Amino acid sequence: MSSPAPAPPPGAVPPPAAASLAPALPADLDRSCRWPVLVLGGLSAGWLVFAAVLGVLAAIKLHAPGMLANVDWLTYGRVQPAAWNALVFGFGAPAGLALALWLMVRLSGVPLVGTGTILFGAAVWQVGLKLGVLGILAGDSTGIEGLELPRYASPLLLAGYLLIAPWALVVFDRRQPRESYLSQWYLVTALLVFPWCFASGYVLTSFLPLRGVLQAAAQAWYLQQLWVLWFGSLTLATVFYFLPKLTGAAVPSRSLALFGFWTFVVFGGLGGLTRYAGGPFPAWMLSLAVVGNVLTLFAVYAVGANLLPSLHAAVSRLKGNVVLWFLGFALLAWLAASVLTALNSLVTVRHLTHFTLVTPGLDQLALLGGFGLAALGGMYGVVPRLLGRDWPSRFLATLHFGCAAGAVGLLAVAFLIGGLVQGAALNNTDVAFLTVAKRYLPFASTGTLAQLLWLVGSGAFAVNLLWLLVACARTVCVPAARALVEPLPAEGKA
Amino acid sequence: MKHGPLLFLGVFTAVFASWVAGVLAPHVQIGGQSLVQIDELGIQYPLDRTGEAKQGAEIYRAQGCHYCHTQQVLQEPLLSRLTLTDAGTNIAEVVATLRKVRRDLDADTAAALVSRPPQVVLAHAGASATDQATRLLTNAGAQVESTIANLGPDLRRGWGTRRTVSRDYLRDEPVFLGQIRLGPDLANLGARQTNTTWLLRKLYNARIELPGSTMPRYPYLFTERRLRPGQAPSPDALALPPEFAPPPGIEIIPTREARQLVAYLLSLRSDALFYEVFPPKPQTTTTNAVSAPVEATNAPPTQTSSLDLRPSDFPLRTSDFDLRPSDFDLRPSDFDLRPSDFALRTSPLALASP
Repeated sequence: MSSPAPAPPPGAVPPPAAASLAPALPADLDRSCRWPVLVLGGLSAGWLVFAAVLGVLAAIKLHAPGMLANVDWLTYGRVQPAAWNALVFGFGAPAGLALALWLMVRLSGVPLVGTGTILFGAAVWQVGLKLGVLGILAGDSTGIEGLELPRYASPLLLAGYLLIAPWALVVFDRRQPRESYLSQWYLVTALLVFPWCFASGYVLTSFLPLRGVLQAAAQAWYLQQLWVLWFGSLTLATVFYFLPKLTGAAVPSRSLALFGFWTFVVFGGLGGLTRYAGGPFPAWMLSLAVVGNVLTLFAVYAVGANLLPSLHAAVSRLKGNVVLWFLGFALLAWLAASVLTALNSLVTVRHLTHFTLVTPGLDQLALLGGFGLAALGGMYGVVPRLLGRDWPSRFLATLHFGCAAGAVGLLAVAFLIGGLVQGAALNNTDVAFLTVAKRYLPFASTGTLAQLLWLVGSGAFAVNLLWLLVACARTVCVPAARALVEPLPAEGKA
Repeated sequence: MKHGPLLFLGVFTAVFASWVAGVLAPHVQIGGQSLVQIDELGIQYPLDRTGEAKQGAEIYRAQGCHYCHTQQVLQEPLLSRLTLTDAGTNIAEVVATLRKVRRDLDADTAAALVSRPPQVVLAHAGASATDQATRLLTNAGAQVESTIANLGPDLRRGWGTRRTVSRDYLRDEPVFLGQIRLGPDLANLGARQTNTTWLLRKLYNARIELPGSTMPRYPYLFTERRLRPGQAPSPDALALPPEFAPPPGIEIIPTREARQLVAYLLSLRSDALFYEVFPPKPQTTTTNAVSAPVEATNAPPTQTSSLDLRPSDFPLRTSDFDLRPSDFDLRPSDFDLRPSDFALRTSPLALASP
């Protein structure tokens, strides 16, 4: 199995902290998880493009309200949640699971078991998600932001997840060196949190709905777990695996890493209610959320202090490494999103940013910039190892990074500044509401440009992946086909 | 870390704790809230919606209106404004007290304020600061008046008369709190807009009622009907201004979904008053030196029973809410009923005559 060009050959770097010292050969480990990871990764790439198309559509509709207005399936209030769900559950969760499986197998040093069940789970997940997204477009959304999947779809996703994720924990339990790695801690957290928050969110809003605003409290808790403890953990697991491996510098402080992990887990889940600051909730809930968000800064500091110096040192040495670009940007985006979220939960700031574009801006920064780029970077690193063949087009990979990073940067800057402008106008009651709308619109339009960039980047990634898969299939199929065709004349001669 | 189970247990505990804090504890605290009996009106608030409005909520949900419109009115912590209405007889004492209350004032400014009542001496002050200033100034023999002021931009925009509280949502399923205001807040839409035709036109094309509006069009909630030659137009047809009207011979009829959605929008109001939404502390005015000198000196305000409320304890005047005509933003065009709104399409006389 040849080593991919983006990642340095394993022998060239000293064994870093997170590197596998497994007794099993890496090639055997990769072979054991090849199909699940490729299937989950390939499906997530498809959803990534589909979600980007919907995202562009939703963004255009925000400033061109007359466009395609006759089609009820494509009204803004349906396209927007459909794009969100396609991105989060179509791209995010499967890509995260694919990476989680691969990382867990690599770090634990034991081959993956339960491959068939995992593939079946992926199929169940896909059926559920397709039903769900079509349901949302048809008007069956539950009406709770982030929990829109209709009742006939959400249980399928949970079932699919429960068929996939436990195998990663089984592998973790059987790990060969009993010592576990930082990435594994984050993975265990992510794998444990998802079914819990997903079940809690959907059960308490769709199946056994709580009364009144308590639904919104359950929703805020779910979104916080999903964003911070699920996507955040997956981001950090990927970053903590690949960055030390690429830079060749071990994570400098184990105790800082431990401190960062536990503060992250303990405080990360508390900050949900800042979404509804000042809303109809008991006041202590908001206070708790602010405290949680601010204390998460300890974890942010620990992660930054542990990773940034080595990243900084390696940047000039590894200029041409696409995986490093993606993961470095993801780390910076995650750090920025976490700091801004803490800042945004303070009452004085929230007073200005409440109900504005800042909320989706921060969400997108964490999801696209943090998790999205980390997962994509992970894919760029993992897929060549699984297929034993490097990416066919380096240009497409570079283009993808440029577009994705540009999209995230543009979107974050436009929505954060636009949100401040919108908030200032909303608070100034001398400004009529229509003028408020006119002031935020230019920034929302910039969002369209960002979504277009993201779409171009996603398209480049999908084409590259397809190209790679076709090339691999050819190398496998052509000799096989030739073997099928050629024996005939050979037999004739004999 | 060698102990997998320990890691698992730690993460489990942390997530469980945050679940208890974020979901379970609020449920224990306010999950058993009951409806509010308002005897004066003979109702239980919030009112149950009509069947049509309930179906309209489903239309609201399906179109995703809550991705642009919130349904929650926020209010800043209650702030008071203290006005010195009469300095009494002991001017020097009042000036000295005023300088204790307002340490930023120099002697001349304080004396100038006291010499020409009424003067605002505290603005945007919290409840406890206002109480303390009231007590000090009253003891010095002055007469002051405190009023609630600055209730926040949502109220000033006319989106409500008070903040929304958890009890307002007891009948909502699901709750459409909303996270972003790309459009105005709708918590009290039914209180400020009662014109069905206006709302239908707004849904058909928001630019009819408000040029430049960014709201999407919902033409699929309406049907186009071609009139046969000589056929009388339907009384349900939407009256549209010429530039938005369909070609002659075609009329726009709101579907049942559009009517249900409008019924829901009209049912949106959370302005009932009950104990939760009253100001948290009764506003105390002075017992003033002129009308009740003995009481004022003998019974300091601290000992007054807070339940012993008189009308003067709520000295709210129109000006306290600082509403200007522009707050309601009603222009003549808002009431612009075109003759066609009232036009009966078939002559009523035609029915009577054989």
